[in-house]
Amino acid sequence: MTDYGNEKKVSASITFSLTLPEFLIAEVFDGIARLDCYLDAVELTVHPRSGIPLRLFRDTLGKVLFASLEEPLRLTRQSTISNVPLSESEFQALVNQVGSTFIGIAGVHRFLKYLRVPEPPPEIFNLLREIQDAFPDAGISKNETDVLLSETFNYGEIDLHTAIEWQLQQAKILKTMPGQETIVIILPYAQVSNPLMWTIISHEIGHFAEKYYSLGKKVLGKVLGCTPDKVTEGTELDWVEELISDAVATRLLGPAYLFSFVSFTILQSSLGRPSVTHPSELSRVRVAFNELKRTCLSDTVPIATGITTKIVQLFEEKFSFNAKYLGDKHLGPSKIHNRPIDDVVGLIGQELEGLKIGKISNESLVRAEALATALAKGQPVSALRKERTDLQSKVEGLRRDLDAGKTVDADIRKTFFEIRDCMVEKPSTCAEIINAGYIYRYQHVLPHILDCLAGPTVAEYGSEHKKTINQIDRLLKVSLQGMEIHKLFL
Amino acid sequence: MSIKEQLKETLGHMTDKNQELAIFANGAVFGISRYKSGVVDEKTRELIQQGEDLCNLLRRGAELSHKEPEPYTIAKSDLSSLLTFEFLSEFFVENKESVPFSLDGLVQKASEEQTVLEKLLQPEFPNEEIKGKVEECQNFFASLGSIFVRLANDGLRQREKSERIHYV
Repeated sequence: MTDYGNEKKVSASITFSLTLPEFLIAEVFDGIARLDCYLDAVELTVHPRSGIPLRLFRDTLGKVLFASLEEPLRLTRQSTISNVPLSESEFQALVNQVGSTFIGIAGVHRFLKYLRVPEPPPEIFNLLREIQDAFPDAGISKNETDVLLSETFNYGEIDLHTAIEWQLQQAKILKTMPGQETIVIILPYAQVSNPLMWTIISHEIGHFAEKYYSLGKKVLGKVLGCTPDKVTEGTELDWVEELISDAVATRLLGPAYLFSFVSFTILQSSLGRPSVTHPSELSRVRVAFNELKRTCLSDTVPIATGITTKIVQLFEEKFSFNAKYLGDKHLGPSKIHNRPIDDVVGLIGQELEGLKIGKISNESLVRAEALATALAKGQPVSALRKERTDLQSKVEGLRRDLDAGKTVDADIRKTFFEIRDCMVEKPSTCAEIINAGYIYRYQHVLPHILDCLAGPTVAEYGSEHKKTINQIDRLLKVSLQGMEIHKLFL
Repeated sequence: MSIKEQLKETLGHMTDKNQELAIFANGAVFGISRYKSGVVDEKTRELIQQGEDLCNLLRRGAELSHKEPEPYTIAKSDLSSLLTFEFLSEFFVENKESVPFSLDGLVQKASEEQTVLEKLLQPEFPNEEIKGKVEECQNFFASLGSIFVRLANDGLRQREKSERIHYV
């Protein structure tokens, strides 16, 4: 809980100004440390028999993954100290190296399936519920979506009913299987305790909503100038469905969704090329950024706006690197791309408006900025107190009136209610808490990594950074639980 | 499915191998960078050695590829050299315009740059001739690093496609 009025001024002075190599190093370093935190969770929550395999993993992290960042760091530091920019090939190798380390993290992650698995934290279901509650239709809000952990270092959703039915058909065992659509969200093991990356869930629920209302066919029908029933399955429809799910996720969670998407994709070597099923990451980031500027980013939230703009700039810079050195291109060979992307997004917006899906407001981001300052002080952010004005003098005035025997005066009532109202703490939403978490991450945590890596070896600082990760995760999870308690008192 | 395709599947699209080779190529760039700033220690030698190992692997891969051997009959270490070369061949065909050297010239280029790396660590060097070649050598390994990162990344995504999960 925190005081709204005082906090905003402090955080407003902090900006996020990492360079692309610094940002990538900090992201990858954080990713390795998080893998290490997962190993700790396995050690704590399952059996000590996991000791030997855990040591194997830890050795790999320390001697291979953390160690792989030493030269990139040395170069970055040398360039900063000497004020001489990196040569072209040094810059290229540095970014290649962090990309390669990212692939190494994914490689190690695959083997986590051989360890026993802790349960997903219960707070994840609070977020899931908030996202589902944003849809007025009971068909979505009452669907019992589950969360499953996977060795693949990616996020996804699977309709278990269809998947099992398909397997049975392939094996010629059954033609159909009784039951109905059963959506399961897939998270990678290492991110299960990281509330900041749970935001990807909103995209997956977005898919559920988009299928439920057949939004993809409605939008593509308008693009192609035909009725929804004439729209055929294929890449164009897949892409529109992805953009709709992104739009849903951006509406629900604001910049936090864009941040998690960038955090997960920026280290990849192809950002401009679409796949058969997905538009390019670059298109998706640009669309999400435009959507945010149209809906919730403004001058009233300078911190969120500044950070979002900077993150998108870094993403664009990474795409330019990929285009220059990795043969990446921004491609869009589709009817969707022949129509200006803004038009398509506009059509998606119209469909979503018609459904009255909940969305994050500018006011929520104002609150998130205030909450971020509280997080920086180590406080949980489950609720936010309204701004207090003259509380002390009002309380003293009330006491004087009561002492004077004024017990039925209308003014006393008014003063009493004013005092009571400004004591009320409004529960935060999951979206506000997670956006606050991201603001804190970009303002404090990532820059701190770079500062601290200037001292000890990379692996040594890994242990220190794990404490920071655990502290933030705990604060965010406590906040996500605490807000439910605050709601009970409203 | 061809034997090569089967091997690609079995080896997980060479993701791990390509990632390792990217580290080797980047290592050479970092080693040269240390050298240029006057740091010639054990770490510098180790990094430059990674570049040399990569050159050996490429040369061996090209050699095996020309002989067109039956992949199942060759030693495992040679198999990874062969597959590395095969993957590079495919990549060069698909990305002619974005790679600063040709596949034909690759082996010769690798040999030349290996010579530069070897000479860097000899006490009597660098002489002026080698000094002039260091920059180009660094660019060559940086380009190779980019290719291997790209191949490893593509392999990672290929591997995921085999599942029925709808990813973000």
